[in-house]
Amino acid sequence: MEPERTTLPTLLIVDDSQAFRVQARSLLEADGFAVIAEAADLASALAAWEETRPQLVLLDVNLPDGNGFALVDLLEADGFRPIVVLTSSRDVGTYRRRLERSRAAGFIVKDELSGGAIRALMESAR
Amino acid sequence: METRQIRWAIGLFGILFGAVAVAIQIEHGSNSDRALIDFAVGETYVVGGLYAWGRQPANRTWKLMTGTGLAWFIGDYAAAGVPVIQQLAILFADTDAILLVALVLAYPEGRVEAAFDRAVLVINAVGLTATNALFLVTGASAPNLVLGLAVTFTVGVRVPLRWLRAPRARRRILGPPLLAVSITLFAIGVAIVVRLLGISEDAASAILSARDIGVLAIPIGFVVGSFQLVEDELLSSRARIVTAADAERRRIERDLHDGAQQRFVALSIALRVVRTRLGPGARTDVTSALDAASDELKAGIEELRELARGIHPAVLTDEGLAGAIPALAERSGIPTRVLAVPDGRLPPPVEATAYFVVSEALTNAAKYSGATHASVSARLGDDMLRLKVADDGVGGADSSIGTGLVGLVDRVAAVGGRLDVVSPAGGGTEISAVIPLVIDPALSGNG
Repeated sequence: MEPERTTLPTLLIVDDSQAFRVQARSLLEADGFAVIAEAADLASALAAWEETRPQLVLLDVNLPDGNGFALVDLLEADGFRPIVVLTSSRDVGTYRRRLERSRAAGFIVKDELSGGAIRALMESAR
Repeated sequence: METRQIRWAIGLFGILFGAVAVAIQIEHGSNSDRALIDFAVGETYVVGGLYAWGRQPANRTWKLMTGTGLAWFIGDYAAAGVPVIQQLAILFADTDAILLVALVLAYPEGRVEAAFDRAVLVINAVGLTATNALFLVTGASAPNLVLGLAVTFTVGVRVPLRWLRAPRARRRILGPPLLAVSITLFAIGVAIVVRLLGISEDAASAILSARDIGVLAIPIGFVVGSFQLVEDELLSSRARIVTAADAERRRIERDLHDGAQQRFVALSIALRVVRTRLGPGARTDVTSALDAASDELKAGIEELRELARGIHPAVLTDEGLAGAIPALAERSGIPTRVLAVPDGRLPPPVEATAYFVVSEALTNAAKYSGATHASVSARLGDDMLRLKVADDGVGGADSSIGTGLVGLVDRVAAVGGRLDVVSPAGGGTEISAVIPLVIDPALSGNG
């Protein structure tokens, strides 16, 4: 049943809630993504990014050592353009202004996370 | 003894001490009108000082004011007829001037911090007493008068300068007593010149009376200033309470977000993982039960999100009004245009108050007004944030009865602002609020 490993989009999950990382990994792996790394804060996210170079980053807005928007800017400044999908359990209205100015592909509220939602944002980011 | 009893005891002593002084003066042949004015001046300091002392027990200003009043009468005892008392009275005759200078320089906090002011105080205290001692020994009065003139001139320049340098909120406190002080110091200066030139007291009676009435205006000015001071302290403490409450709400929202909300979100994803793993061949009664649970959970998460936002909107913490007001307009029950929002950040209590006003005003408009459109504007000007929320509904809103509007009026007043509602029947509703950007006068700098 499982699709060929090489064709799966690779994904880094950055979230300080372990419960969320575990569930998101299960859900997205079932939806056809290869979750190749996880990180709990900005610093380890940067390290994981350097090491694994995923195609996608699923990035929580609120992290213990800063916010997700800062990581988007950091990667951008380093000349990297991964497709970053920001996520939060707060609604999109909370971040509307910063999302408009950010180079992130988009925003998905956590309880509506799905492979389909990420693919839709990947499409629009192309 | 309770401080209240101490103050009563000082008050009674002050009246007795002053009454004896007046009796001595009249006995000694002084003009009785001038003696009575003299009595009124001293007692005004005593009573005004004790009154303000009761309202602000921790502020030393009012003890200085009371002391000035008591010392006012010392000089009169120079005519008492008992040699020891006479000499002591002459030696300490200028204690009132020493304490008055201290009072003027220490007002309103009750502390003298500038090195220059401290030097003036010490020179004044030591110098006036020493020159009085000199007078006792040699009979020379000129050194005392010259020093008095110099200090009068110095303080007379210093006081208006302090007022000029003070920020606006503080000028209201400094104004009444310092104005009285400036005018009076001028009169005192003239009075000293009159004595130096050797003009007789009777001939100079008018200028001396003017001085005495001016001196009487000083304690009244201080008491008026103390009202303003107490009012500002009340405003400051209200603002601090509101600020602390806002910080607490922000903390609760963050805890909800980091805790319960995260868990429920993870749970909802877990349910979807289960649903996916069951695959297309699953029993429909199982999948529909699972879907029902998912829907219920989704509604719960939405309610929790609503609750957390109601406690404190994260968008306000993150983005200030520039993000929060458009977010409110977006969620409003009626189409709402945002005409203006300030781009930068404002002090947190100002942002929180403004958010609360806009949020409540839009909620009220959606609930009661039947409006088809609303608009919001927030503009900065004159150290104020000016808010306006207008709708085209039925009007008739009244800030004196509707509890929601009363809450708004109170909330804005707590940070020193004001809120007005214009809502003619059939003519829509316009709620406008003015919120000062510096809400705590105690933080607005020192004069």
